[in-house]
Amino acid sequence: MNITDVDHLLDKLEKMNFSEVDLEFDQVKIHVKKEKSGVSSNTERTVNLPNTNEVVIKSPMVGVVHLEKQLKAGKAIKQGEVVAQIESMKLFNDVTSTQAGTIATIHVKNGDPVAYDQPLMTLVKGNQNV
Amino acid sequence: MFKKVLIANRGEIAIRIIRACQKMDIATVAVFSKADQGAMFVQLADEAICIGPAAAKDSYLNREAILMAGINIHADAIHPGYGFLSEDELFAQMCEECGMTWIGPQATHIRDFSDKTHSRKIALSRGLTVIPGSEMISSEPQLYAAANKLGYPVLLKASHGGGGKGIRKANSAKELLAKYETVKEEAGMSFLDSTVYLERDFETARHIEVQVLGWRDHLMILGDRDCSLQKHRQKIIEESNASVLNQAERQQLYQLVHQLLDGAHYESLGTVEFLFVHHQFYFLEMNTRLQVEHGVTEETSQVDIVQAQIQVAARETPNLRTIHFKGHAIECRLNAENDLEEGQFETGRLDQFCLPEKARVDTGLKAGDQVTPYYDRLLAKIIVSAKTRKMAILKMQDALEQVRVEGIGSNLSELRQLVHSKAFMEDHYTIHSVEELMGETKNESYA
Repeated sequence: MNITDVDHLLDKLEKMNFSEVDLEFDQVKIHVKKEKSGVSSNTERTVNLPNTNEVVIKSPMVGVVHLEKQLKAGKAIKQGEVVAQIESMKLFNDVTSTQAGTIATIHVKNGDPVAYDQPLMTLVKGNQNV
Repeated sequence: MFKKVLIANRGEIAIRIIRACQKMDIATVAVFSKADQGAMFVQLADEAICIGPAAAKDSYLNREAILMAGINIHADAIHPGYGFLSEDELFAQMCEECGMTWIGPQATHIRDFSDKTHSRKIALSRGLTVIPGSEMISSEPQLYAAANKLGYPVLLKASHGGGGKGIRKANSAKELLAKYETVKEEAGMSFLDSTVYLERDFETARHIEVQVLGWRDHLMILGDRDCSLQKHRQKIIEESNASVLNQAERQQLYQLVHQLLDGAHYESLGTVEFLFVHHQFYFLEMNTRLQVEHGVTEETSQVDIVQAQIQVAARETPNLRTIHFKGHAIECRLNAENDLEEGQFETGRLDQFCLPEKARVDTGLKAGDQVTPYYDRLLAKIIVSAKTRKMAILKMQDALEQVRVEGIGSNLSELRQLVHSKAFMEDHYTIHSVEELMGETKNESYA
């Protein structure tokens, strides 16, 4: 079993519904423990930002950012709300907020080129409109 | 000439391309995955863009992400390096459609020459000898009939195999079926295509390849290389020129390359690979890209191959009118691998990484760097050249003595053993020598 095989396996497992599993075959032992969706991205953010009260929404891909209209600092954002679209190869891909909160800073301008994982905006977490 | 070149690759080859661009006053753009954030090539490029997460399929194999990065940063050309998308005809086409020049051959040439089945057909039609092989195998009786016709030992190959995967050797009819099942299973898993064919196995062959550069109506031959020293079908030591050939044989070899490519209007770099056995050249395959081992050719031809490749892509005439081959060059590939467990890829932190001073070293790593499991195992290419082969060997022996790798396992002791071996020093080696010298004669080892 090589790295590509492991990659394929993990991709498959990701789509299945379980929280922990032990696999054993061909003298290979694999233990996979899944984190609940949302939690993993949350921990990633806390690593990047010491301020755990803030959430950074990042670009999921390389492209050109199109911010939703009327976005500005102070605006309340619902969990799951589309905040921007990333245009890549003429396709528009929604960026949603995984958390509810209030926009603290918008880091990009409409039409800016963005890289993968580039911060688009920072929210201050809040429970309004959940 | 281009103003800004995006390098769709990583590690040592990205650095090699950046250096060539710097000499030509071309700005460089590195694209990188999250795993390569702190890598040397990212720091050396004029600009750098993160294109995706660590997994290659989401970053270095992500055509759209790379193209968008190129569009965003206004690159006018894309250099694919080797591996990843370097022989992807779709990507070559997409680059052109997005207004960026693909630094490589046209998509149609990639299709014709880099696909093994395709290129074998072309070679046959142009009068080259190919390795005796069978049609695609679809049944057991067919398998036995084909093997009997070719004679043992035979190689079982997955048609979409490569890099040592999906290849097994069967020494007798007894082993045939089991090996066939193994290859089919391996191929089905890794390449999602379980078509298998047989090829005659040559036990005493040398792997000889010819470096070419084509532009407009020209086809220039930039010498040859001997890459017979391979482990699990991966080259580990390469030499330029192939010292085993005499003048008449070399002439015949170059004639075959012209036969294959004259009139094809092949533009860019290419390598035509042959097996040389009993004074006969058997066409193996062609690589339509820059090769890992291009450095040994640069040392003996004094040509900067990467610069020439970029010039040709920019429709300029490369300045190569007079090439004089000088001396002999040898390259050793230092790989991250566990020397106890059959050379498995080893990852971790490079605590110490000392490289020889009196050798050309192409590497993308420095002490303190992490070797991640996502990509290839190459740590460094160590290249020496000298007036004669004998002097080059002494220089390589000396260079390897100065190498220190701490923190992760490497094939250093194996390389040292090889360059001190009688077979290597006396130039009497074959494509099976590494396995023989390392005592890997077990049945299940790769052919």
